[in-house]
Amino acid sequence: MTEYWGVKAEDIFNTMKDRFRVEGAKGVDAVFGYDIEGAGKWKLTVKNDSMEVEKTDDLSGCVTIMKANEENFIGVNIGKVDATNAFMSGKVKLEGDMGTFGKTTKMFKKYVPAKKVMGTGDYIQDMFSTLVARFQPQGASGLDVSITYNIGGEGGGVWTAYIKDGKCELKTGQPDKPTTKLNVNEAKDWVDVMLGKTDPFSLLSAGRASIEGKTEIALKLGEIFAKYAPKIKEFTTKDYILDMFGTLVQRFQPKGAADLDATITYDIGGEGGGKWTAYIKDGKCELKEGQPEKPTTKLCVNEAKDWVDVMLGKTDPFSLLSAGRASIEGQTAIALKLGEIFSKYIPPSSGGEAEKEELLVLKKTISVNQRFATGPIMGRFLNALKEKKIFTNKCPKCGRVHLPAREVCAECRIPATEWLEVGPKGQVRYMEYVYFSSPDPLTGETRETPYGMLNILLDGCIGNDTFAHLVRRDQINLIKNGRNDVAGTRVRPVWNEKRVGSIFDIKYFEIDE
Amino acid sequence: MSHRKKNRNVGIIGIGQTRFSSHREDVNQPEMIHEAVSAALKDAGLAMKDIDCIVHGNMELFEMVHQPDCWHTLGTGAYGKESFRITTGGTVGATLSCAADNLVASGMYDIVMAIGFEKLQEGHTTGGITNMADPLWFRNLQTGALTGSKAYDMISEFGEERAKKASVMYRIIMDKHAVKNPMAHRAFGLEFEQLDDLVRTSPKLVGDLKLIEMCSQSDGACVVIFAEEKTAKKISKKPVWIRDHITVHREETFILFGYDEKHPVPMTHRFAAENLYKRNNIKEPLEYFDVFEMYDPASWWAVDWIRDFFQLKDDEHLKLVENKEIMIGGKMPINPSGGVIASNPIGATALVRIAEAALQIRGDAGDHQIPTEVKHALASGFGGTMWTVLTMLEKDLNW
Ligand SMILES: [Zn+2]
Repeated sequence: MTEYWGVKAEDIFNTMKDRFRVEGAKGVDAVFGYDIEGAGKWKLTVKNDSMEVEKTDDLSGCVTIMKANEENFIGVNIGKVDATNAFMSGKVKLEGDMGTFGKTTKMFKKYVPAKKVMGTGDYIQDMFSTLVARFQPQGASGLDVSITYNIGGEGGGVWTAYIKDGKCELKTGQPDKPTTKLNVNEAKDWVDVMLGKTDPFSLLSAGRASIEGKTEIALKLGEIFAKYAPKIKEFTTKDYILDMFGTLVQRFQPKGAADLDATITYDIGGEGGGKWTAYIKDGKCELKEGQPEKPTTKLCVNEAKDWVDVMLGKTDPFSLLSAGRASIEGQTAIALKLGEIFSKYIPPSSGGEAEKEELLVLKKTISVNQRFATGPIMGRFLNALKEKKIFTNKCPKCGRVHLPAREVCAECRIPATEWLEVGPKGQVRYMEYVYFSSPDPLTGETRETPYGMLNILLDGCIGNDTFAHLVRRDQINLIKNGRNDVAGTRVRPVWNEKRVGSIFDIKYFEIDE
Repeated sequence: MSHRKKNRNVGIIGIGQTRFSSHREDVNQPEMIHEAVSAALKDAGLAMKDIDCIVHGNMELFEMVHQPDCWHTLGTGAYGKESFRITTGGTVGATLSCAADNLVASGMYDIVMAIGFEKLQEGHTTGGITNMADPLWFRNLQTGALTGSKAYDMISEFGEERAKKASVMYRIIMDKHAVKNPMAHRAFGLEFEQLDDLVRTSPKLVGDLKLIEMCSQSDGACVVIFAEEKTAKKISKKPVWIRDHITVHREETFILFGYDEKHPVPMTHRFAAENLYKRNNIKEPLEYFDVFEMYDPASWWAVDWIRDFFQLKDDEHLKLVENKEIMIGGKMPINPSGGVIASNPIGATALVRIAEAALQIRGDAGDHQIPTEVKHALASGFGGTMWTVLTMLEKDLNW
């Protein structure tokens, strides 16, 4: 079994139970098979509101079997492979009843690969593997130094950056006498520094880190290397919140806060939340956790997720306020000035896929009541159905017998005046055997498949002027088409008890023997 | 049928297409159309001020936008211009071309821009098609554009194995063309070795019509600019001349298929081709034309229609497909673009046929250009219950 995009085929089957949607499985009673080349076979049994999935070699009794290789199966499930393309080009195959299988798409929530949580070791690896890429020659002009990082604890190690002539090279280990050496006792602390959760000076003053050699080089690290940013896709709400507050002081804009002497408390609830207060005075800003007794302004947000969305520009704060999901205490005017006091939060994106600008899709559903006048000719035809009769008319010139009745013969351009009763029995000339469940145009519901639509040459009719209607569902496989002088299966209409002058006064046709 | 010669000759001087795709959520309708409008203007070396009149068309029912041309003025540049809106179903793109041709030929306008578009993902195609059926009668029963009846007809006539293989062979050839066309929506990279496998395993939709054999639903737009002879020669180095076009349609009916040879069903395709060739004195269309861009909604229909459009007999059409004579480089290349089966932005689709035929004549089709000189091209449109529009395009003004 191989991983594709970090997912194994079995991950998809093993999560089916959790992803099962009872409402999507209503009325389904079927067994589906999955034959995934290279990974094995699975059997999915669905019975109304329950489901079982098992790995098995025996796919007998399945109404439909899906066949694909691992890559295509996983790709389609996680949206990396276009499902329609894969299906149409035969990379994903369905054997058996396609219509019923189609319901499985409504039966499960989308598979979302479990987020890989980055550990300290992963971060350390990622930081050093991106170090050279983050090197900024303009920040290191004229430098000829070696900087050793000596990181202790779990996930730690020793690396040295050799910087010369505007170039940077990274090696593990250290030279005899590095220009500057950074010692950090615990890798975890260094990760926190890099993620902006701790500041390096508190580590130094607490004796959890030390600098040997030239200290001024260490102070220049922020210029020599661009800020480390973990891949954006792995950012959780908590990461965002920490990053936002970790960068708040940097984003402070003194000219937007001139003459301001205020404390602004952020009280963020929910997972990843917390309480922070920005103390602003004399054009300076300091951030502390917690809150003073009476902050000038207090912003309360019920859910950290909402605040992240506001900061990322996905939600506007006013809709949160009006929905009661956020509130402001104290001086509201200061809250409205936040955009001037702090520059816009920009999420880290280096190393990760930049998030595309979100495009809007506006959803609409239209439902229209319509009334159509039948006119006297179609009116007579439809009215006769109430009496269990099928009436039609004949072209006086070419003899064509229209079905249904028509106002004029379109070919001869003259009124079809002669009325005659035909059928109601007849022979099948052709049946559309419909496997594909397209929606019923009148209800929007997906029709049960397979079903059959007949073209019936009613007794008394001639040529190709056939009458279209449905066939009794359980007789689809018994219908034979007619051609030339060979007659097709004889059928008769089954009438509705209550008839209103509609084509569905006939329920369907059934075999007449 | 009375038909007069044109008042003035008309040439195509500008062509623009968007990429066809089922994922154009990145733009709205006017923005998408604007892509094709700009491309066509650039191709012609014109600015919007040079356009005298605009004809605009699509299928209103598909997106449920009434008079989209008003909204689209933002993308079409039609503000203050003479403007017509046309919608004739699947044929609309071809009808746009006919209208533009007639408007210029009449002397009313010197330069006319035809705009066809569709954004099928924004509406409901099957719902739209269903609503075109007679509401008193057939709407309740029909299921959109899918039918297995042509497969049934061909299987009855040529036997199951040969008919099924011909249909999938046609499909693979179209895919081989589509992979050469960067605008194409569906280009799978199918191989001839997959033929038997696809015949056996591609899921059935209706009867023997299989999923692989049916066209896609695409978003996209196509713009073609028409000009009268003097203007066309002045503006364009390679104007492509519209020699003639014909439209044939019949009553809304689903009696399309012949179950009884004593009562032949009048086929609009054959009828249209016959009349078009007669009045242009084309005796052997298969010899005369160098390329055919056909509106092929499904491969069964496509194979069968080759017989109608070229006035062939018996199994001549099957042989053309089986011997790969319809491929680029073959005797009668059909749809070097990949055809409708690869890309189907319905309101643009039939105009794309004309645009692609013109590109072939100009020699500007890129990777899917036919290697030999293309002098005479045929393009078809199809819609509703067997509507047909045929357009003849010429390299030289010498008929
Ligand atoms: Zn008649």
